[in-house]
Amino acid sequence: MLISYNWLQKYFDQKLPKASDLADKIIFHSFEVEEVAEKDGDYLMEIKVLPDRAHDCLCHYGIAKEVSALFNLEVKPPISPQLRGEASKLGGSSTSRKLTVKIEDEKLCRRYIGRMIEKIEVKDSSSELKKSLEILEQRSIYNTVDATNYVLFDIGQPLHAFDADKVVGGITVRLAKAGEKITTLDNQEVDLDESILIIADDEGPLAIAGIKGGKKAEVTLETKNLILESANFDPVNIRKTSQKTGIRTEASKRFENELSTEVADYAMDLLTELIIKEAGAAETKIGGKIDVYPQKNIPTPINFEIKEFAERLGVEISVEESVKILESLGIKVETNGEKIKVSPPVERVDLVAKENYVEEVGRIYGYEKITGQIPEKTETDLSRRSEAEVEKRFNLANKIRVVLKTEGFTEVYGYAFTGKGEVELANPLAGDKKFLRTNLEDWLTEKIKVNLSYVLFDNEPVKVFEMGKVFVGDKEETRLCLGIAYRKKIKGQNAKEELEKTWEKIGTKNSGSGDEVSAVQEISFDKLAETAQEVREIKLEELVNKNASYKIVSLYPRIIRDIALWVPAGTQAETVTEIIKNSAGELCVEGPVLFDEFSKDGKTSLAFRLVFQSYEKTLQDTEINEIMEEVNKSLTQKGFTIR
Amino acid sequence: MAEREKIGHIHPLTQIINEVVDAFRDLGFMVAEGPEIEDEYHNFDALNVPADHPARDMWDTFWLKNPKGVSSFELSAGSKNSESEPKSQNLKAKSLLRTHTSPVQVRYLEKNKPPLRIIVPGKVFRYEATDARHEAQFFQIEGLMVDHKVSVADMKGSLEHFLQKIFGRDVQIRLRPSFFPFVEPGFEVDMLCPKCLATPKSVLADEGGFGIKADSPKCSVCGNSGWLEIMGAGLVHPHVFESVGLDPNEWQGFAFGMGPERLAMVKWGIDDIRNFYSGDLRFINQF
Repeated sequence: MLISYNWLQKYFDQKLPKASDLADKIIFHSFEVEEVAEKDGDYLMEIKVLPDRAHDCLCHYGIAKEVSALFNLEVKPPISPQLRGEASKLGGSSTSRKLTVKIEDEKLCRRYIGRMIEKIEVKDSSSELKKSLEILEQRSIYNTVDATNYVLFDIGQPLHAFDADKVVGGITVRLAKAGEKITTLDNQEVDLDESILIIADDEGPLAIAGIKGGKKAEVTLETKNLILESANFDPVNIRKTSQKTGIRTEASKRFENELSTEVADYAMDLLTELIIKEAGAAETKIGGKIDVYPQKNIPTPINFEIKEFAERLGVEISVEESVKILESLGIKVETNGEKIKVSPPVERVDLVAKENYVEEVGRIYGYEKITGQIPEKTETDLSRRSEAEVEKRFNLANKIRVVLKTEGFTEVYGYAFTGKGEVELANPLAGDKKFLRTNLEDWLTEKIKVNLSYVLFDNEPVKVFEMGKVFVGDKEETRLCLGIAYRKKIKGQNAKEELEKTWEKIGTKNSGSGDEVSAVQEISFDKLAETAQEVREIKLEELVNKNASYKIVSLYPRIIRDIALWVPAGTQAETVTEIIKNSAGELCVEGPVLFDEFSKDGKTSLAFRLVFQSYEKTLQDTEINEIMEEVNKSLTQKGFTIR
Repeated sequence: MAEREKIGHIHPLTQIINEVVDAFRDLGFMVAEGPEIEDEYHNFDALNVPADHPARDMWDTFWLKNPKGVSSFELSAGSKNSESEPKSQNLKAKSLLRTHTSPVQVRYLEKNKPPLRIIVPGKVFRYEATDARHEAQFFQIEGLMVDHKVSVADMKGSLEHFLQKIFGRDVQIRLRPSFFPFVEPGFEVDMLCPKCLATPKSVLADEGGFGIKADSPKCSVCGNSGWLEIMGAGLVHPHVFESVGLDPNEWQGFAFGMGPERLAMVKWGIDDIRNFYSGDLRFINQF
């Protein structure tokens, strides 16, 4: 929610700390502040209000009350008690039309305050009102609509105004009838059904309750008389209707978060004040408030032991301090020996149990005051617990990994989503990711192909494995899949045999598909784990590579070059490697790799492979030719002969 | 022929997961696991996330098309894919891919009596477009400790222990107020940026805390704030205990959840989360 610093300042007589200081404190005691930006002589804070406080803090007053508690500043009410008293009494001059309000479903509409206002002037809003809305990136329409939006962003109560002359009879809050329709203010045609709550007149729907007004009673520049609405609706119904119709508004967002029914009255007073100021004229007549409020919301006080605060937080905090914090948040406190009785302010529908109060005290007190401690160790009886089985599985998986690592295999993780399978998703991310995988082989085989293209030598196999879940029928099964592949048939190498030998090294037997060039086989890890004996914990050192470091893989193609040379017998290969590496330069990303060595007539032949690649571009043969010239030169300078 | 490196490589996520498990094993935690396909009850309701509550919006869910035990299924007309819930009448029907590892807290407590401490690595799924920072499928590690008396101090100390083990003794954490329906109080946990910690002090301001000079080169990990949001945590909500038949006046707990991908990306400076599921040995073989 975008919060304006200047708007917040209206709530305080004292000058507020600067915006960045405000934000800092809010972050550590209330909400995440995503951004503080200067704009048109104001500061805007993007405050992330989460579902637990969306009912009272999606507005400036809510945030102002937080600021009051954080900085020990007295917060002023949104409308002075004097003005409020006056506004409340309004209705003395009776309107020519008497408004009636009927709520047919008291569970779905918990309160409805209606008010007639006659002989107003709809026109552009004052520049002050316009500016207030525009700084929040809200469009100014005209004075009556703007007034309802202002109050929404001020105290969090959604409001609505109808053109009274377009309303036939009285206001009824009821469920729609099958077949009823409404055209919204956005010109959207919506089909209504019996689960949707509407505001209706004698003829039909006027608005989707708590969500969106209809075009029928739209306030226009010609409007002379208004019916104002300040109401409260059941959050579940609002959310369901909002999802069903696909209409999400600032109003529906607040109602679905369980706005307190007590705010409606306040809001009506505020709105009335503002409308008189913006749209009022000498002839304006204000009707009385018709307040249908079947069940008054009385906050429930709760009792618990004062020591809860210190114990749950794990920090020393005095009773006085706890009480002070609670009172700064508008909570009424009574202490009685070891017990405390707390009553929340009416708007705080979230304060219902002691853990809520522990959080209030803790966050305002400051979590930095809590010193971490290692919890005392308890004896756990392995034999009793179901996790003994899981511990065995976890250790077995690690044991297998260590064996496979020694055998030259690299572990991969693939996606569960695939193009074909048995378990289908109702909302896949893509057409070719509609199913959950039924095996590990398919993806592994695909990846082997890709990895083979990066291998440096034909006789170097790609050896990979994956452990993960597959979804067959209504079962999920953990499988282990191994894969070995060469780029082509290599004399003396047999992928299938190697693979099946590897199964034995793991402690099982398996035979399956494959040939000398490539083999991919999978088994059930679950079955393996069932028959395994107790497996000790694998030491971390065997699993973790302490020397690992990461470098981005270049997207550009490689150029591979070989170089062979004669050296005097007894020359160390490392010496030659050094020379080549130094002259090859930065673009040589891999190697020189010695891949052939033989002796003849007192001389030794060495052959190296080099890989060139750039992070910035595709290298040209000509560039590499030049580098190889340099390499050749360095070698011949040392007296070696290039073959 | 080429006698090159014959040793294989264990996936960086496996390495991180094992480092985390190992650090918590120090504190008496044991490994637990749970199914990847879950039912609404375990994934949401038992964790105090009722249907038709805005808190559900915190997790974009993959729903199964024909879950067993659900007679009719359709996403609501006005929904944008997973923005709404299905007409699933049976909360115990296996109808979704778990959005977090938290359901295992409930499953575990249903089968085991406290006191207990579990650490739960596992795959989770979110209906989210994939980019350098987001994946639809990733890992989480969940932790849960339940005992007669458990405080925020216990939680803080346990988290400090494991983060210091993985990132070094200098690492500190700080708690910020946040909200998850299954904990109260709820926290976001930040840690000192390991990259900045390793940077020579000449680059940093010399305030007592961890201010960084405005004109220093921007840290790719923390953007010069000096702190990283690393995980969520909190004291277990009484509703969770009630769901599994435990008396919240007798039992207390703390729980936390973290993403090993995030930890790996911070530890090794990996820029793109999609690397982890690429199956590309040019990436994995670096670890």
